[in-house]
Amino acid sequence: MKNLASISEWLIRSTHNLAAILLAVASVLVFYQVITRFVFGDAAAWSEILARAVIIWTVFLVSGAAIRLGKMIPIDAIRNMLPRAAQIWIIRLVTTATLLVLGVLIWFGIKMTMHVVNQQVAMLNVSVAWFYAALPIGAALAVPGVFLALRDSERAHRDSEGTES
Amino acid sequence: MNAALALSLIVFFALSIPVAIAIALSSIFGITFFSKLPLLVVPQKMFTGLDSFPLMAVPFFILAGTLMTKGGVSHRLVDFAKSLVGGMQGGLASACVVTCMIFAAISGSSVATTFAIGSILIPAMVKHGYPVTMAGSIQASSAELGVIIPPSVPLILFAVSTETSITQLFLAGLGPGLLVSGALVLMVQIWCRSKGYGKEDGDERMPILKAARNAFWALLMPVIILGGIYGGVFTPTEAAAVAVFYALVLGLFVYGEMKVSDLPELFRSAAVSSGAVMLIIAAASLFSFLVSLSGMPNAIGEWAQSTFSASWSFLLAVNVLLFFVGMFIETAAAILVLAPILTPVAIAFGIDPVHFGIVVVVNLALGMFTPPLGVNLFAAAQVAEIPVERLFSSLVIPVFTVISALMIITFVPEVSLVLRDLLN
Repeated sequence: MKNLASISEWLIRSTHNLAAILLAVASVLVFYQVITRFVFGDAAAWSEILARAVIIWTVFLVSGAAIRLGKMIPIDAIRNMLPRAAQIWIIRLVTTATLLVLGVLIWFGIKMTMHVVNQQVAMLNVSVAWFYAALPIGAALAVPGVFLALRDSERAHRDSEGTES
Repeated sequence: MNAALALSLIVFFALSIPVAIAIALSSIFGITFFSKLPLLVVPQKMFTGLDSFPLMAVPFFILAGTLMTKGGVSHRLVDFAKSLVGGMQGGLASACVVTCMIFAAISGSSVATTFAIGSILIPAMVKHGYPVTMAGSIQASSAELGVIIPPSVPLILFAVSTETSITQLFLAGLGPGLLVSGALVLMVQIWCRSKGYGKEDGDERMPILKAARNAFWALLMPVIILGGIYGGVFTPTEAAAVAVFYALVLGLFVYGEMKVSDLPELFRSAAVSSGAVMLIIAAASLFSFLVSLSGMPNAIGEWAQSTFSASWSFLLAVNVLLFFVGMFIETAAAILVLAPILTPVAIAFGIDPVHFGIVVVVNLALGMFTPPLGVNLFAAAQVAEIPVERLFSSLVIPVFTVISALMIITFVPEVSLVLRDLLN
């Protein structure tokens, strides 16, 4: 269990770092486009298309870290008013809902990626499947983040029970 | 299908399922039980929803804002605003509004504005004898300027989800932004004079010229960004990328308050914040695809046409609806779900979609500091180190001030549109 947890932490940290790097890469690509337009009078069109793909990868790769760090913006005012015992059950329910959505994204994301394998991206001459693959891969890599977030909530719940009794 | 989508979404929100997951789940639910569509549309629509060049301005503006907050821009702007308006009674509180106004022209978010400016001005106001609750509520309300004055992430979201021009919305946001700023300064002045606060705000002020020289490079940023967009030099997305590089150069080399070793953490934090917003966008584009397929906008449009006699009563009803939605629902989700439904109806009533977008965003910005749930409130309470509930009673005055400004913005379209019409 302990190993699994540390591998999960490592995975989430790595995808988070990768997403941060990709965000920087996308900024450079768009900045490069501005430069080419000013310097050469003609913007490089490929940089725009590539930047879009890089941003999509950033978004789906960082989803695990966003879930892990609780940055996915829940509307939790009602939950916070409930008794502790009810809260932990709702958190478990939220976890199930999140896994369900990730499951759909993984399963149908793979199907969709296969489906578009023969479509080419204009200007770049690569398969559009490279772009679509961000969804199933990002969703799959987010799964450990869901469990880590649940583990933290379960721990906080146990600790709070300990202090009350 | 419509009822199922709406009901399941409300239930999922209430269950505290994160906004993006809740929107995706209620779409999956609608597709599975109330349509013949394959679930393949889930990844397809979530992908195409994000695959847009204008939308890329969102992560870039979030990144630029993160870099600006760290790079020594905020305290220079505070000094500049203090040198401008700090001399009169209530000068510090007025400087809070003015700093937020200028910072808003750099940053696209209001939470970032609250942290950047509030962490300097809330302690300063408390030190000068303002009650901490008043300081917090003035900060929380001024920070909403962050999303009204361009660049603004919510305005980009409205533009993308309704196919309105970002540049036109950015032009239209300036007038209302100045109006709300003016209203807030007026409020602060009356408030301070009637309660006798802020009589010695003038000490520790810098001479105007010195403060302006210090803040020069920071003040130049909105000129480059907005000037570039308005002048047609850059697209908003390109302007956002330029803002990222400008912020880097400023923080690393000109002011030297940011170290290269700070960058990984700043990029990581910007990646998470923009990822969270972009995932809501992805889920919402799936949701609004289903909504438009089910004919809900037409149904609501027909109902609205027969219920409201004129555009003014429709606008009033929209304002009331959004005020309550804004109290509970996160801004990006509210815009992405409601704007595609309401905007066609507004157009049918003869309302300019650009004006309508400003009304929607100003209203939802109000929701950012109306209890019980307002992101600015939580941020301001965190900075002021008090429980958020203590802010509630001192918010009555700012909320009513902004509602008055919102009414003017709603019923005098020229406030938003005059600049756009002048330049087009």
